[in-house]
Amino acid sequence: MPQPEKRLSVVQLNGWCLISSLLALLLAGPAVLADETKPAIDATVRFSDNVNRFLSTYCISCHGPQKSESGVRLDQFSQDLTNGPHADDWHEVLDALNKGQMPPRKAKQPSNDERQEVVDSLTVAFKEAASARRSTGGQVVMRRLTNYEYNHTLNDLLALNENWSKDFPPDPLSAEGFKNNGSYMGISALQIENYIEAATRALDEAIYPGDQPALKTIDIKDITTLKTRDGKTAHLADVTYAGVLYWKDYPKQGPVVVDVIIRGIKADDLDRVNTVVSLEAGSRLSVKKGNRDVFSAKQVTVDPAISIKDDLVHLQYRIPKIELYPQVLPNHPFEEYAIRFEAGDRNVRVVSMKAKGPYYETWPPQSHRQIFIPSKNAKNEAVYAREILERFMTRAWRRPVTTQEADELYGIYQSNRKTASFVESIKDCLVQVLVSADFLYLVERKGPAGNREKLNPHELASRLSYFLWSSKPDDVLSGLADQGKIASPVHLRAEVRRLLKDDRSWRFVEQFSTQWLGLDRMNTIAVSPEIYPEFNDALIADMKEETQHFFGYVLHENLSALNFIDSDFTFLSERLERHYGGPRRRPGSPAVRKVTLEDATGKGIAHRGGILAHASIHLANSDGEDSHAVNRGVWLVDRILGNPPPEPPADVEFDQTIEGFDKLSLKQQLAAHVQNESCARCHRKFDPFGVAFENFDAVGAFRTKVRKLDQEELAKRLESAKMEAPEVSFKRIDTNGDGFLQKDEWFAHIRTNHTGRPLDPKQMQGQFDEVAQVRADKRGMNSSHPHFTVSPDEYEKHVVKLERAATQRVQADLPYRYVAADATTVLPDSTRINGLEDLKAYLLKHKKDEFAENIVRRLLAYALGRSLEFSDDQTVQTLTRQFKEDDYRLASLVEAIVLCDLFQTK
Amino acid sequence: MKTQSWQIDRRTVLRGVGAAIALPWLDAMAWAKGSEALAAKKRFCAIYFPFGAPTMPQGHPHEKWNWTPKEEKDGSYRFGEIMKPLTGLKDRVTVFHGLSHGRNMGGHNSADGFLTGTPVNGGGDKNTISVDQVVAEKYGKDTRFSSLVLSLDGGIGAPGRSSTLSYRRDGTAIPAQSNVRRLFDQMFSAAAQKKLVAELKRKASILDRVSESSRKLSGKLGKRDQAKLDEYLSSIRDLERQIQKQEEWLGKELPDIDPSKLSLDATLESPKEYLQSMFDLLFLALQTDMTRAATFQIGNQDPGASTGQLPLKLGMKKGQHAMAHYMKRDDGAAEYGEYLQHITGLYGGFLQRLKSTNEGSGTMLDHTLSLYGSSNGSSTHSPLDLPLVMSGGEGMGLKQGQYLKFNNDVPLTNLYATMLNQLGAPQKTFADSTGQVSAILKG
Repeated sequence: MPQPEKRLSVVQLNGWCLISSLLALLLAGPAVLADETKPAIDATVRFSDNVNRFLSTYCISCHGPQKSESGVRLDQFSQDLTNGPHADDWHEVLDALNKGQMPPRKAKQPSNDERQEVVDSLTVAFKEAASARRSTGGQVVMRRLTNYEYNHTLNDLLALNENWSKDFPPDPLSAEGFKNNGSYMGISALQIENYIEAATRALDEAIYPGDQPALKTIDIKDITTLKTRDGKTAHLADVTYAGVLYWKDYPKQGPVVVDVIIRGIKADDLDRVNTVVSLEAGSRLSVKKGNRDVFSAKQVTVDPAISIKDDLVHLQYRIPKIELYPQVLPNHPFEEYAIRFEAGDRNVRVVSMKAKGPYYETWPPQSHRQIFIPSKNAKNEAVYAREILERFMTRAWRRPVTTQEADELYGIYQSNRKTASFVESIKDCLVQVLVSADFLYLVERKGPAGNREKLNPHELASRLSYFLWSSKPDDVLSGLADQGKIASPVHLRAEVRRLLKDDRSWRFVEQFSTQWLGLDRMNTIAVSPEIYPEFNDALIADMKEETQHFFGYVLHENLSALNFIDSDFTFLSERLERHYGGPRRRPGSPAVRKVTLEDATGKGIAHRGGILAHASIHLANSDGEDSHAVNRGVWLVDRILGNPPPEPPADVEFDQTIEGFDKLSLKQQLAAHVQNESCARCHRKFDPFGVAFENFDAVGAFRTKVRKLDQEELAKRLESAKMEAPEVSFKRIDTNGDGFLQKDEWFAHIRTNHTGRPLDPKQMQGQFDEVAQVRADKRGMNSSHPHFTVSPDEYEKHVVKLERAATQRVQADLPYRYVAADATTVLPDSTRINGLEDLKAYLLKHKKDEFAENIVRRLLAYALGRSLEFSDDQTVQTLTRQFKEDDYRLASLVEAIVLCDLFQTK
Repeated sequence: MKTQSWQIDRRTVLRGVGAAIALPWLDAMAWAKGSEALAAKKRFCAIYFPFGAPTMPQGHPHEKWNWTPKEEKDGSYRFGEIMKPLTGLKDRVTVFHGLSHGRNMGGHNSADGFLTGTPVNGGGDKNTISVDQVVAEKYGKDTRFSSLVLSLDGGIGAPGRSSTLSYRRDGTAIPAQSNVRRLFDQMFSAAAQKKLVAELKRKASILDRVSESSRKLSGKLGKRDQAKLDEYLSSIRDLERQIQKQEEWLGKELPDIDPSKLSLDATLESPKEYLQSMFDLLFLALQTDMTRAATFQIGNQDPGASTGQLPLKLGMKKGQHAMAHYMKRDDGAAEYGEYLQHITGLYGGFLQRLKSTNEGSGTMLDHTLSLYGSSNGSSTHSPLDLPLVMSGGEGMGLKQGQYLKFNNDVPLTNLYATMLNQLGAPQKTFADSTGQVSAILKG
């Protein structure tokens, strides 16, 4: 077989790889080839003197004018990392220096300090070059809506509530982890097509041509009468805590309202009792009592609105669109829906249960009237059409439209109208409005010079609403813009408060907390079912909600952001509370509630102050099997202290180079990092912080011992579950040696191996029959031996079965070994701490400034939709100072950001 | 719904082939009007499953469930249980051992990079072009669809949890199709095509108007904003070009395929019919020259995704992710192996159909190079020593019927680069490729 080319390994070939890949770059890169015609050196940009001194002392003798080892001439590489052609080459140089591959062993060696210094300088130079390349000159780049902003905007515009961007390509994350950074966001033909299709679907959904469909109703009374065929006349609703409406003639479109009246429960107990209805679809081909199998197993549950009168509780459920729920099984013809109510408390009695639909509070529905607005011109089609279009454009584009723009769209409507209906002609124009750059982008017009300017009132209104609502301004905010009042600090401040108070500010809470803290990473961690057999995927959502609600509470109550580091409260669902080791609440109350930690009795819960103690953070920064001190440490210095470490050097194969690295304890592994100088340079800055989280396992449960799968014990148990080879034991049992096991031989064998309670002969007979079953079934097929014997084949099958059962028993109860969790650590400034409580105290004592500045930077970057630059530093400092003076109050900081000059200029 | 008991035996495999014969059969010769044109065709398809395949140590009771063949002293080799469905095609199939993506590829995030060779470990990482799309760039203009992208989950998934194998040159994911009926309609239904004509006209008209009105923003923007607007306008032009191409094809005659033999309504809830239908459509698409580049991702790497439950729906005890983790334990290899054997059986049926369809002086298999395998190697989902099988394409100078062993020091992308050469779409390098794998070429 011919030898294929091998992958070059840095570890194997040491410096050679660097040389050869540099060579490859020199040969392949057109930028370098151009060097023949013009000198590569850009003399205007230079590395700092210490770097150049280092290069001429240790590198140039081999890679310079005298000798160009492997064709590499560092003196000819442009030192301009921002625009020069050699940034990649310098990266290879940095890696080689970092890993100690260069200078080669035989050559003159720099001291560790010298090496460290030059590595640090180059790293900083790369960081600066990266931000310079991305620099927007301190201006916000016109950006398209993120997928979530697109959704919210479309829903708010059309009074709908669906996820339109489900199948869009995901938004890219900026270096700070944000999705709304204009420089990073691209657009492609696919997305344009997505936008056309989503807009079309949304408008189809929103517009209701024609008359109001007839209301259909169903009452459980009628069904129960129908169902009691056996003569029983008792009213089902009087004796049961559950009810089902099987609805054959269900409404095909529109919302359904379900009214359930129950008694037997006190109002105070309502939140502890499950009172959801679920919706199932399918057909009742073989309905027996209690047989649900023919219905889809996928359920959608809906929470009720509750009103109470005397001892009766009225629960009202709104199902927005019956057809959405749920998907139908393919092999069961879909005939009817089942709306099922089941109370979590058996004392509840269903007094009545009814459903009606399609139920519209108004006709036409709100979504239709948002487009086909009530107007005195409604009778005059041409005038009305123009009014509709202009109004829609204004709302969708978040600004007044010019007469010319309105005229043009109206022209298109007119030409549509020649061949299509009124509604269709309008609809087609609206799709166009929703695919225009004016809708998809946050457009901020500029003068020809492109200088910094004040945002105009409508641009400011949009910037504010996209910051706090992830959506377009509402009528109040646009009204203030129309009147030109929005820029006045009084109005602006009042608007920030109003927007934060509105439910739509939850979108900001949800998005900002998730993006800032990197919560989405939880979704990509595969939790080991072996180490955490009790882990339930539903917890992931609960964990996310804990952090989001926490952030929302601090924001909405305008509390100190220091609560993020430590607090005396958190937000837990019943499930998460138990996961944290809290007491079991009554089941069926999934809602997240505020828990005061002083009152908390569970040991785990007492440790849950601040987001650093949230399971979401622990899980997102684990590997699914155990904690991950490195990830957690990096997370802390990056997301909390605002000092992200540089990327690790390429091709780190560290873990593989140390014999038995996997078997080392965490501390030993981290110690190994520090022994290797190129790793230690960065790792000593964050590993120690990560160790402080060691009392929390991969899924964020509190621990004092680390649970590991005991592979040796497991192997042992599995070994002992193995049976003797069937050929061997068969021979032993077959005492008469005829090649079959007779009943007496079998019984003797059972008795020999048996200990404990006396055997039941019936049982023994039963087992024998079972093993010999195949023979019994094939009676007469083989006459060479008597029936009711066990052949070697059957015996082997029996043994395999026993063995399988035994191994399954082993796996159902896996053996673990435990090592003490060690959260003691020495921080970079030599402070010795033990565990998260110490870390929190340390941060509050020594790192408040870094933390405060980090929050300011994150919020400001998100508010502006761009990365911060050097020129923003002054604003950052001012805001940080103000933030501290305001006792770190979060909502006050949001206000200050909106009021600052940066937010109001383009 | 009650799940059927899990049984895979020779009959299942035979049934796969049998179904193929019973299917709407189409005379490729008649359809393509002239065999010369067909003989020159070069096609590529890739079929993927997540989480790897068993590799048990020598002498282990479940060694027979290994992906890799068993070698005899005389240098010959026998297929194990998983590969058994391909026994009849042994001389048309090459098995690889020890090819790998680099370690950077990661484990759980490797489907994104399976055909691109580029690791995508988080939201920020940018992917690169996949093998099939290089082929699509080359031949896509000659066929109705430049490529056919299938997966069980459909769409594109999330970075690191891709539910498509195909990526454009700019690194954007191509959404996969998962709905059998929609796929059929798109390719073969005249009624659906008619509707599509109207839809395309509508889209083209909207694009035309939108680009005109948006152009008016020019001159009212700063320099960077102008660049963003240009990007938007050029995306519109791209889409216009795509629509134009689709419209051109819509005028052309469609092959007449009788849908009654296909289970067009099958979904994952009836996994056997569903998988068979997807393979049927894959075959029909190639046979009728709808496309010459296709990918099919049989499950993505999100353990929670519905496709991870595919084995459960087939009646097995664990999801695929759990099975892969347990494959080194007691009967884990046999359990997982049975599942993979079923998938391989479907792939085998697909190859059989290619082999029994004449094309030019040979068969379709001679002109269809396919890759079958996973982006994970072991029970820990490592990206090394990937289970990979290649087949067909002898008409493009490929040599099959080999067992090739490497030592994890050859990037899988070298194989891709070599394949692309033979497919007539040579690339200077492909992702991290360092050369060619000349062993797969006819001497």
